[in-house]
Amino acid sequence: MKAHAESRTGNGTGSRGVEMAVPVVVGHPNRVPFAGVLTLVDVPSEKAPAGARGHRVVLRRLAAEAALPSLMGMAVDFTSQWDGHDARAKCGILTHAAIEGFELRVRGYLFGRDYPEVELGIDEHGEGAMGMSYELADAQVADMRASVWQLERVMFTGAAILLRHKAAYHGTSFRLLGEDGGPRRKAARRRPACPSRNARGRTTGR
Amino acid sequence: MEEMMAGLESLEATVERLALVANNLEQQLHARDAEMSGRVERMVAVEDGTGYSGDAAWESRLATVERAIAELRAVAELQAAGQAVSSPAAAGAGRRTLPASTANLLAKHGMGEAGQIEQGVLDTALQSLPVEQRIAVKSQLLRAGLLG
Repeated sequence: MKAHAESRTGNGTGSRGVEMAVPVVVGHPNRVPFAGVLTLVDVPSEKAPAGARGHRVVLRRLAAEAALPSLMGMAVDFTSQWDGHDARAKCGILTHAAIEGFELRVRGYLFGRDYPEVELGIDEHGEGAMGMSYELADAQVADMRASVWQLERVMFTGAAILLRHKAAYHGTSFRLLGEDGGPRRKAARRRPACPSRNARGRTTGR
Repeated sequence: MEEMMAGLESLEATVERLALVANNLEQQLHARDAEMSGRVERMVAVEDGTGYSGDAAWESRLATVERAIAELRAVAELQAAGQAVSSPAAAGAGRRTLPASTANLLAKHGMGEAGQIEQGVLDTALQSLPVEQRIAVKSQLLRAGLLG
């Protein structure tokens, strides 16, 4: 797999993106494409992210752009309650990221056969209910005393799929796609062999 | 001419002083910037208080255990106060029946409802149980008046 950066200016917002080349395999049983808005740039979060000591944060556009390559190949994870991160419950991978307007949009694949309960859970919560959350390492804050922290350098280490209202940014989103990258037909959904099993094979929530 | 030279020297000295002051100011500014900026090792964009499920689970478990300990302490204090003012017969009258699961567990370790159970013996018997279960058993024994 090769990662490369490309510039896109088609929408007039000067968007910039990166993608990881993944060979196309028609009918891959373990790839369920998804798209989402991971976060917003140059916009304050609605809530204080965990780790920000109660401060709301602004991810600066330049910081996000510089950190886009760090997203490639990182995993998406989930929790049984869809309310946070579980870095050891990785159910998919990020392969595209781009900043368009104020949105940092991502695309990737869920491991649909390995984690059928994720697909089922997303469907059960209904359209528009799910959002995303980033995980950062080594975030450089311009002024720790400011009420809203400005993040001027970050490194993405992963992302989570969660209920949109649990995310620090309410403007995030997550949706599953069809195999061709277009809208998904729910009829094609795979039924889980064991719906109550979570990512670690447990039968109950944590 | 001499006056002009003196003026120039004075001007030169003033410029040097100004340059020094500017340099100091710049250094102070950098130091202040460095003091104000900071690095955060890990941050996740979920509402604060949720964070990692693992952390939340442990915190919840810790809170449960702390509550149980507080309850046990309160029960123990109440019991100690009660024993100080009442006779053994009166204390015995207040006993309750142990749940079957607890009675079975005690029976398995050779302890029954017949009399008071020593703390040390009980601790040894309950070693294999998780801390929550140990607390639950002790709590039931305390309520039943069987733990000495």
